[in-house]
Amino acid sequence: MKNSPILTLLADRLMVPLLGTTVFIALAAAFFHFNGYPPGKIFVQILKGAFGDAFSITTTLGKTLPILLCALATALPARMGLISVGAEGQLYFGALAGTAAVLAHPEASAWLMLPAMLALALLGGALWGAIPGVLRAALGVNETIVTILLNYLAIKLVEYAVYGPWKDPSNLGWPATMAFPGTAQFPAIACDGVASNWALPFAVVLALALFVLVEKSRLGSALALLRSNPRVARLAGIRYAPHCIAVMALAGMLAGLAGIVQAANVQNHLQPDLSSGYGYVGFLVAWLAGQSFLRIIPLALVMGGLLSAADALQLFAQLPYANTLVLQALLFISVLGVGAARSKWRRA
Amino acid sequence: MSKYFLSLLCALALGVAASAQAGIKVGYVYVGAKSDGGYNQAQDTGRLYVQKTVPGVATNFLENVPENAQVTQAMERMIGAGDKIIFATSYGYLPYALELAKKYPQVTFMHCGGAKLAPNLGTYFADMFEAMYLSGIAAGKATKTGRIGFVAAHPIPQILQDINAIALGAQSVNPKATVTVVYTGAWNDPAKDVAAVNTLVDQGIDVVGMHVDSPVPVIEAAKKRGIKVIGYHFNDESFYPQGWLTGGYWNWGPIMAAVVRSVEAGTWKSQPIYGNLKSGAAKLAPFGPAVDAQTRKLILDKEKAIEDGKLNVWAGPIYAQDGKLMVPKGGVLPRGQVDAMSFFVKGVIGNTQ
Repeated sequence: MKNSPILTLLADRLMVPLLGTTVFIALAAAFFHFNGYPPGKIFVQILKGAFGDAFSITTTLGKTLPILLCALATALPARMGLISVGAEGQLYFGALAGTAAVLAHPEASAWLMLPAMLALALLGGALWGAIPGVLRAALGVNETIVTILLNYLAIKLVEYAVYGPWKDPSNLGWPATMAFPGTAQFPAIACDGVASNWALPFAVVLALALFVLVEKSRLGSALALLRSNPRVARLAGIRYAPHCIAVMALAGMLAGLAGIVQAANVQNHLQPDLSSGYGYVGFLVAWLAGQSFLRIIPLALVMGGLLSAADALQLFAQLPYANTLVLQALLFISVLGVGAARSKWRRA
Repeated sequence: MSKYFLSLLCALALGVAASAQAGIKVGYVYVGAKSDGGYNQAQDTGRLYVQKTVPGVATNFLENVPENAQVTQAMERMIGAGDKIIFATSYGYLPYALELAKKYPQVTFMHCGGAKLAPNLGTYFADMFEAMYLSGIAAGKATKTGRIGFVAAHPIPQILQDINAIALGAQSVNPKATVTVVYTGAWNDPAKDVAAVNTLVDQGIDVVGMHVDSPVPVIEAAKKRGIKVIGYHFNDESFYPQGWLTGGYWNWGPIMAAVVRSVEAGTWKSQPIYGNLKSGAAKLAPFGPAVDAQTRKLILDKEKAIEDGKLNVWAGPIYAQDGKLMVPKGGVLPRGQVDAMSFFVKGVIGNTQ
C-alpha cells in the first residue's frame, strides 16, 4: 500500500496539476484581493475573456497555436537534455524563409503556393534549429546561449527584410511586405462564429505524433539515455551528434511552422513584431508541462486563454496590463513550485 | 422672449439628458503605457479631458497593444463591449484600423497622424514643428558648443519636420548651430535612447531634443550628463527642471471632445483634422529657469507671429544639407512637401534614410 504504483501514478498525474492549480488560484486571489479588486469577479472575467463567446475563443485559439508549436519545439530537445530557448528565432526565420516563396511567385495557384511556402518555412526553421545543434554536436558549444543569440539574429534579419528589400512601397513607410495573397493562407475553419485554420488541428496531430514517436518507440529511450548518460549511450551504439542535430532541426521545423502561420494567417504580412514573444511563452509552457507532449496541449490552451483575457481584463475590470504578466508569473511559480516539492518529497 | 429662452433651456437640458442617457462609449488603444510621460500619456490626457467635458460619455482603453494583428483583436474587443468611437492612437495601427473600418461601418475610427481616410475613419494630427521651431530658438541660445543633438525613432516625415524646424529655429539666433541626429529604430527602447544621448554628449553636444514615445529616458540621461534638454509629447519639466529649456506637447482633449460630440450629434465627417499652435492642439511647453527673460520674450513674440500667420517655419531661403536651394527667398515650402518631408536642411548632421 505504501509504495503502491497506482497511488504514485495518481499522485504524479493528478496531484501536481490539481495542487498547482489550487495554489495558483489562491495566490492570484490574494494578489487581486490585496490590490483592491474582487477576485471572484476577476476570475469570471478571465474565463469570459478567454472562452466566453465566439470572439474570445477565436483569439484564444489564435494564440494557442504558436504557443503549442513553440512549446513542442522546446520540449523535444529537452528530451535529450538540450535546453533550447530558440523557438522565437526559429519562428522568425521560418516565417522569413516561407515569405520568400510567397514573394517569389505571388500569383502562383494555391496548390503550388501553400506547399512551397510551407516547405521553405519548415526548411528555414530547421536550418535555424540545426545551427545550434551542429555547434553543440561538433564543438560542444552551449546550445542555450547559441539559441538565445540566434533569436536576436533572426528578428534582425526579418527587420532588415521588411525595412529594406521586401518593404512594400504602397505601405507608406510602414515596415512590412505586401499582404499575402489568399492562396498563401492556411484554409480557414469556421464553426458557430469561431474561426481558426487547419494549421491548428495539424499542430495537435503533430503533438500526438511526437508523443507516439518519443514515448512509444525506441527513439524515446535513446533520447532519455543521451540525456542521462551519454557515455552509456555511446557504448549502446547511440550516437550523440546525429540525434542532437536531427532533434534540433525537427524542433526548428515546428517553430518555423508557427512562424509562417503567424505571417500568413494572423498578420497577413511579414513584419517586425511577428510573434509577441510566443517563442518564450512556449518555452515556459514546455517546462510547465514537464516536457510532456500530451500535457503541453491543454497548457498551451490555458496560456492562450490567459493572454487573450488580458484585453478583456483591462477593458471590463479596468485592470492595468501588468496584471496579466503577474498572473502568468504566479502560474509558473505555483506549478513549478508544486512540481519541485513533489519530486523532493519523492526522493526523501 | 423669455418663452423662447425657456424653450431653449429646455432643449439644452433635454439634449444633455439625452446624451447622458445615450452614454456613448469611446475606446482608446495605446501602443505603450498610458503613464509614459510621453506620446501615450498625451493621448490619455485627451481621454481624461473627454471623460470630464462630454456629459454622459464612457471611455475605456487598452495599453501596450503592439502594432500587429493584436490591435485588430483589441479593437474588436472594444467594439464587442459597445464602443462606438475608437481612437487608434499609434502610427502603425492605420492598416488595421482601415480593415476594421470596412467591417464595422457603424463604428467611427480616429487615427492619429495617418495619411489615409475611409468613410468612417478620420485622422487627427497637429503641426508640432511650430513648437519645435520655437524650441530650436531656445536651444540655439542655450548651446555653448553650437551643437544640438536629436534622438529620433524613425526617419519618417513627421520626425524630419521636427529636426528641420529645430535647426531652422536655432540658426535664426545662432547661424552656425548644427543638429546631430541619432536614430534608435524603435519608438520605445529606453536603453538605446540613453546610449544615443551618451554618444551625442561624447561628441560635444550640450542640448538634446527627442522624438521617441517616452522622452523620460532621454531626459534622465541628459540630467546625468548635465546637458540641456527640449521636451516632446508631454510636459516633462518636473523630471529635470534645472536643464529644461522648453519643448512641445500635444493638447488632444479639445479635438477629441469635438469628435465625440459631432458623432453624437450625427454631424461627424471623415476628414483629416490638423491642429497647430493657433488652434491649441500643439503647445509650447513652459520655460525652464535656464531660459533668460530676453530669450523668452523673443520666443513668445515669434509664437505670436506664427499664430498670426506672419511667420512661416518653412519660409525661404531654405537650403538642403548639401547646400542646394530648396526654397528661394520670399517663397514657402508647399504644404504637400512639408507633409512628405524627405530632406534635411543645412546644418543637420545625419541622413534621412
